[in-house]
Amino acid sequence: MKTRRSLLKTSAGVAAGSVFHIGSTAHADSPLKVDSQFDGSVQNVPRWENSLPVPVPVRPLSVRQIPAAYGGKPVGAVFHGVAPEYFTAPAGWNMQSTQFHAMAAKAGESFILPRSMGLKTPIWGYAMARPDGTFGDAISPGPHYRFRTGVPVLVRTTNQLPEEISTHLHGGHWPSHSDGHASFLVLPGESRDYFYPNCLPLRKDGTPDITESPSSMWYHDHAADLTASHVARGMAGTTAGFDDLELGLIKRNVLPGIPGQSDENTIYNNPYDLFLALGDRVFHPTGTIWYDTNNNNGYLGNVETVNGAAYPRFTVEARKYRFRFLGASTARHRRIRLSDNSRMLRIGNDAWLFPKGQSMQAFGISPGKRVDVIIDFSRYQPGTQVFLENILEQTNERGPEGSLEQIGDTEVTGNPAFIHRLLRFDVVAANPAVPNASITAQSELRPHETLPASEVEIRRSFRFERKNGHWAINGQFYDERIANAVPRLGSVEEWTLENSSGGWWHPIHIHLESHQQVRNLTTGALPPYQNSFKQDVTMLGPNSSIVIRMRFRSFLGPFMFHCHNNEHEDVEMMFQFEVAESGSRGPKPVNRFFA
Amino acid sequence: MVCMIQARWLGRALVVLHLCLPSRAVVAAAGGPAATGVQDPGAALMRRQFAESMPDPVLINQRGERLRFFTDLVKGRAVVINFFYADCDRSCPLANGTIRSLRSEFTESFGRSVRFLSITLKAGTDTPEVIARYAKQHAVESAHPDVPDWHFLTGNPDEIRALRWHLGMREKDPAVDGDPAQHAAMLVVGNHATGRWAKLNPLVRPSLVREKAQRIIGWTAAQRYADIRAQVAASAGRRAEPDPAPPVLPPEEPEEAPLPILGRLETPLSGVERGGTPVSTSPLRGKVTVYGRIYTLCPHGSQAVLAAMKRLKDAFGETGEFHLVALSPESTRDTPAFFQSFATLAGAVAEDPWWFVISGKEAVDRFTRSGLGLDPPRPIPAEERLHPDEEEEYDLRLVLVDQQGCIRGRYEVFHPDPFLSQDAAWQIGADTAKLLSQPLPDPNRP
Repeated sequence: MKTRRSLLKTSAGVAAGSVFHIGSTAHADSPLKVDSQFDGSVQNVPRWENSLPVPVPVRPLSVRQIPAAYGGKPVGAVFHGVAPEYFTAPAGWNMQSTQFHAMAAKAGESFILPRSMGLKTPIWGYAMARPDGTFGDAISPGPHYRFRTGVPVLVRTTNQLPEEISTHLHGGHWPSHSDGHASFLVLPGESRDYFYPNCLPLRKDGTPDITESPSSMWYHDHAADLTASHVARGMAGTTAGFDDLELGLIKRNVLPGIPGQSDENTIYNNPYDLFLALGDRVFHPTGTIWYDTNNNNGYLGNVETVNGAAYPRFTVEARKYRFRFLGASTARHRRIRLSDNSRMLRIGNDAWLFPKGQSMQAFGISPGKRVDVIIDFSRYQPGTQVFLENILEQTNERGPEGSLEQIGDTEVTGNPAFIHRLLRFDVVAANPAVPNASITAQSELRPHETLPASEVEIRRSFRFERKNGHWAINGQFYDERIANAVPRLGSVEEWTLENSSGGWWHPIHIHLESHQQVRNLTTGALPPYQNSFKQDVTMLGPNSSIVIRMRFRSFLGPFMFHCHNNEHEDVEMMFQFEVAESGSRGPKPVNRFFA
Repeated sequence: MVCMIQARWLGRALVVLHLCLPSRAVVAAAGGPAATGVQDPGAALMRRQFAESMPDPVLINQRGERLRFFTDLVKGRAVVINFFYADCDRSCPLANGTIRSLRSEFTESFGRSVRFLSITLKAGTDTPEVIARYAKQHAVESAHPDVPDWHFLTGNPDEIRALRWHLGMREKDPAVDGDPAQHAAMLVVGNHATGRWAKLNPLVRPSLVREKAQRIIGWTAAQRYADIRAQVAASAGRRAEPDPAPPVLPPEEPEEAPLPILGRLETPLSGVERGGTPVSTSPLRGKVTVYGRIYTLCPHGSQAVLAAMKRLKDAFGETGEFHLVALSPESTRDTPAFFQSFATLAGAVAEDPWWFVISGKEAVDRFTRSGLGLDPPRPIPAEERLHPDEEEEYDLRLVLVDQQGCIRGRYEVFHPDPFLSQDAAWQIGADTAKLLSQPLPDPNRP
């Protein structure tokens, strides 16, 4: 604080229009040292030349009736069909309001590196459909969707790539057919109708469980054996979910937004709320992404990107913003802070808002995770530049330096030994027509209900380990025809997630619903505040065990659970559970399969 | 370049694609992303980079042959690689069992386009003699012409370690990495042409290994996904697509080697150009010439062929030493007038060194078959026709002929895998440049 104030004072005499940097300059930027995979890679990337790509929300092609872009092919009449739930939708799903979209996975190119370097990067991304059914250019991150809880969405996804794909919309509650199961593919040249009912799971009393309404989701490729290379080539995008509660928070100006605009229409236009997808890459001197398909330990880049641009800058008004951070890397973990160590308000973990925000100086984010954060720029004078910094060193694929507890520490004491700047915020005056959001750490957000031990029906244990030069779970490998767990529909289970692969980190992602951490068996500790509600990725540090509870509602399986270090997932640190009418303690052959 | 079996098979693959895709998707597949045409070197590098820096040590197989790992064994092929040592009694027998069953299952479908490579982890003790005995015990030699090769390989221990690390078979813990007894049982499965590589676990259900390996080894989409397509069709209660006969691809020639001579164009073709002018191909001797058959009933195929020709015209048309010839037999539909409008649409004007020649059907068939060495037309069964007049399927490869009238290459610019069709389009440009002793124009600069 002292440093910042004195800096501000010194700068007060500087002529108008000049900028002053906020933050420690002692460690302006540490290079990203990674285990050398490729010696000739691009090293010196100019900072803050790129402007931050801000994804434009996609409008549906049509509502209620299938769009012309479907070429007269009804829902389900494509090669891979549609989820059976589309035809058996209960009355509560409001099917007559279904929004129809279409997109294609295809090859393209993008300026990830600053244009001054003159290097275009070939990518594999996603392209929106035009009204006539043709597709635009592939972009990465892909088209940004905004879903409304209670309004079903159908996305016809066509594969124009030469390899098979599967699109997983991570953080939502979807039918098995549409969940991006690793073996439920879209073959080259074919299409699949992904059906997202946007329904809430029901409580025991039959009322919708509003605690489960997702806010921050992302989609990415999930095809078996190919996930990591496809994600590294760019196959990822973001999706925001809104329900009445969250739109109410925007309307009442608790959450940042333009009341009367950001809480209305199908795309909820909101300049003060955006995803920041954090990725890292290695570049060949020609600008091509360098990716070693045969290194199944993890991919670490030496160039950081935000929303698909290397080291961008972003102009912000001096007001509160909501940033939905996404760990879009396959292996890199980060600990994020502002360069002046200012406090931020964390309001959610993965897809779900907290009951109340958490004031903090830093947050950890691992592959696959989302961290929902309010940053208040009204504390800065217009003209100020403030940086987003990663203060977590990671030099090899095993994982970052430090322990799970250190990474989760919300306070930053002393000067970090490692600082790598990712994004520059350029502060300008706030638009006076829009009042600043009122959110504080006391604001009520999304209520939470704890899953009690009394409801647990089955306890299971999964050990994430290395075996035979492969990544395994309980000594076994992914088999698309084996349901490794069979929970009863509607039941609660308690799983122990154990990491015994000496020294390696594994972020464990479980599809279908949120899960709740109960206890860290290694330390005996209860979960820290940010992990004590809902999440869909639980981070396992080296040699740690964490107990979680989870409910399995609405949809019969199968669904995946796996390590979200995508390279580990591809070499089979992946299992599936099949939610069924009657549960089973042991594994069973998969009953429902939607190739 | 492409043997008969494959040509026949590909013809079928195209039919299958026609039947199951909306026509727009076929155009996209044939033309590639944004139909930029020439394979973007960056995009190729994105997919193929893994093999770009692959070590190329000399290894010795069970027959005492000295072979370079990349140049002689991997390039242009699909490979299944594992590491073993002769007295290994842990995972090796299991892995050998999986390889044996894959090899027998792939004999019919892939033949010698796939190779099995078992590399020793104990090069010091696994001498060529030990390797030869080991191979004999496993009875890997076969007189059957289609059984994929299975090489047991030894060589310099340091070079083999570097190769193993490159293939991703490296443990982070040096003690584990250096102990052959703890070696990973993984199969490294790759396809140099498509750039797709993965590690597969030989200890899971064999049919799972086979299905996954097929997706990597397969040369065409239909081949890669035959099993999954059948599954989808079965679950949807629909009839499965027929499983087509397999292709066998010979290995690529090394890049540095001069272009092979594949034949000689002895008899010229006489016909009629667009405006009705009679022309003969004999004055084209002395120029580098590219011939292609146009098949106006197959819009996607013709579009891909014409687009590839247009790019060649743009690149080399002004050298004065280059000529293009599009051929078609005369019919009630394909008249010189029709060809005139077709050529205009393709971007050809009268002054271009690009002829659109129409001749009698017999003459065209003879010229394409015995002259250019293309496959004879294949009759299409009535039920497979997309157009009632579409009686025959043609080989639509472009043929590159040098100044002396020698055939130097045939290029599949219309292929179901967009990567391969773009690659072919790029390759014919590179080879033409080589024959003209010209640098290849930078595809990124129009």
